[in-house]
Amino acid sequence: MEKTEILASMNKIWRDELDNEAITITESSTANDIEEWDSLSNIQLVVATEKLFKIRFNSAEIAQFKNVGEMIDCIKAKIG
Amino acid sequence: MLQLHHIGVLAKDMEEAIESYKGIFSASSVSEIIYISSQEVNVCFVKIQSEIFIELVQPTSEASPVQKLIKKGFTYYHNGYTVQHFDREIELLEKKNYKLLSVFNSEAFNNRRCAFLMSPVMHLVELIETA
Repeated sequence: MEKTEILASMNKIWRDELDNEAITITESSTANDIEEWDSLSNIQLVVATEKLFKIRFNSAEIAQFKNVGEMIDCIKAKIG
Repeated sequence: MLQLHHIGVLAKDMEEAIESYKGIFSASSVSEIIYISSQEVNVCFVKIQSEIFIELVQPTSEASPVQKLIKKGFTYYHNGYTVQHFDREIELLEKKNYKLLSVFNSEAFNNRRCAFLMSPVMHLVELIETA
């Protein structure tokens, strides 16, 4: 799966989980860019992403994500 | 082993919530209000059974995630469990795909370590290290 496809799927997750159709995330997006994206909703986003891609992130991986792009890299490495 | 200690519920108005619980339980079952700095919340424990409490949680900051939950209309917040082997229990829960949110020292428990974890079905759990 290409990075752009992963990002498109993640955009749908972010909109659904944060209940805001206006949200558009890019590889450089962080929680600081989106008002609804706080520490609790971050876990919602992580769990929804895990379910969609049928993967698991460990706590160290979650803590190290600096932006959406790093999350995409990790997803890509896990799904091959 | 997890021992239920409290059910955390959100209180928009702490005084009002305390008065409401005093109407069900005795006034002596209500603790003092304790400020937890790392979480930016005030909490108050209502003893409902021997060693089992309702924890009333009121945000003290507009930026608090707890404040956002209240604005969304949530009233239930988390279940709190005491654990003897704090680090080991976190490890065990992580193996069951619980996500560690934070570890902090809580003024509500004599500055003992506490941790918030989110379950795979998005239920929030607090672990409290026993003395």
